[in-house]
Amino acid sequence: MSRPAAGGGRWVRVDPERLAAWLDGFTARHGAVEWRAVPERVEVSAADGALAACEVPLPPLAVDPAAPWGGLVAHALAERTVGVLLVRLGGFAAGVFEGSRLSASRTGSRPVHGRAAAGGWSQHRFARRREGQARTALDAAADAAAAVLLPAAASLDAVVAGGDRRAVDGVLADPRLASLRALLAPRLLDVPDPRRRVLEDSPRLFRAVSIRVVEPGAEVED
Amino acid sequence: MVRPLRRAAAPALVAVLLAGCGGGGGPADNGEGSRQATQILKDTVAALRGAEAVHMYGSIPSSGATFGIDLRYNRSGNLMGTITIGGVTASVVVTGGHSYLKGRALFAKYAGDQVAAVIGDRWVAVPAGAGPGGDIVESLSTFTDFGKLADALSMPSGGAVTKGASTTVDGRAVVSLRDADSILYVATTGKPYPVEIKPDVGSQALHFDGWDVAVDVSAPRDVLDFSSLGGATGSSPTPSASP
Repeated sequence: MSRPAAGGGRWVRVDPERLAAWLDGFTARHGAVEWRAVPERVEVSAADGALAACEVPLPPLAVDPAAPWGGLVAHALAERTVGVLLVRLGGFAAGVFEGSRLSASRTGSRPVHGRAAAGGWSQHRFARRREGQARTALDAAADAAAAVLLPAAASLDAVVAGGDRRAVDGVLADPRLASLRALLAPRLLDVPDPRRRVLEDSPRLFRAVSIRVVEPGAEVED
Repeated sequence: MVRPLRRAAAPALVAVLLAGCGGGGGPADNGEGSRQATQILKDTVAALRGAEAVHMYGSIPSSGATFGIDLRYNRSGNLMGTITIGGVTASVVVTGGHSYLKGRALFAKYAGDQVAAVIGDRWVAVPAGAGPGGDIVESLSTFTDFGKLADALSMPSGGAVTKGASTTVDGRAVVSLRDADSILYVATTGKPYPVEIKPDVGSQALHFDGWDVAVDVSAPRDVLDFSSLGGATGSSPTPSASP
């Protein structure tokens, strides 16, 4: 019941602590394997045609040709200090994780009303009101990010963002957060409304290795 | 002011209400709620392999981007609906082995403004598996082929699958199955089709309804040939001819 992947195969999410065993199991199931590593991805190809395309968490991977899987397991297991910023319109969460431990955080929300039915002056009035509310919400998220993430900026290995792309971009456009943008990981985390529980769960997403598995004989589309 | 019911009308109304509570109209319980997890999964996979048509909508992970889809398709491989990728949406039709896309914003993003300007809001025939559009349609085949979808669902992540609580999802009675990173909701009435699959953490969910409801797809009219625009391959083709 793995989730199907666009382009063929299926996605599995493997925690760093399980990764070595998972790769060993893949090898045991599919025979001799070869791997090819680049900073963003490690592709493991088996003699029977199976493929495991591993997305490097918090890239880049400093590829070590002498290490198993190019050093992917050690990279995934590395203890890091990570800033997390989750934003959706109306809700936000900012936190600092040392490994999987949340050491500082702030969550909050601001009301942003839905869109009005089309037509008339009231539509424009609602649109202006909504725009103002959205701006207030993004400002509040930027304040939270500045309060929680900036004091730890010097020790952060990476910043991970999640939620709605436009909302995240709107928050990170705040000039105070310029130093965080340089640390931003490329992948946007897929999260629901950013409540504290969602923030606490986020290491399961940004530490894990997403692997697209294609079984022998299946067609593959990059 | 509420007027009292007439004596003669009251018994008839009660009869109608009771009939409504009797469960006469909906699909029957399929027994999956009381089966073992592995058996439920086997039954779901078998139902999928025999499915005729479905409406699938939601978001799906892809390398580096998220696909949004809202598609109706049938086991002949014909489909119609919309796809959203990288924040832009396009309409898609696949019928008779040919694929068509319509979406100025999508072509602007993946083939360049020049190509998008030539195409405008018209339908474009895209070559299978090649160039902007064709590769996108091709990448959907995992979802629009019941066999491939069944293959993906048949392999639990982490190897084990466990049964969760019976509940209601999208208005359907379901039982949940979990593996190491996903939750699958299976209908407990009618055929044991998937109703939703989602990651255990995160919000990307794929929903299914309209199982076996006929999907009639016809090819659009006034279609441009993408290869005539010089865009059969590559990601940023330059138009070589006007339509």
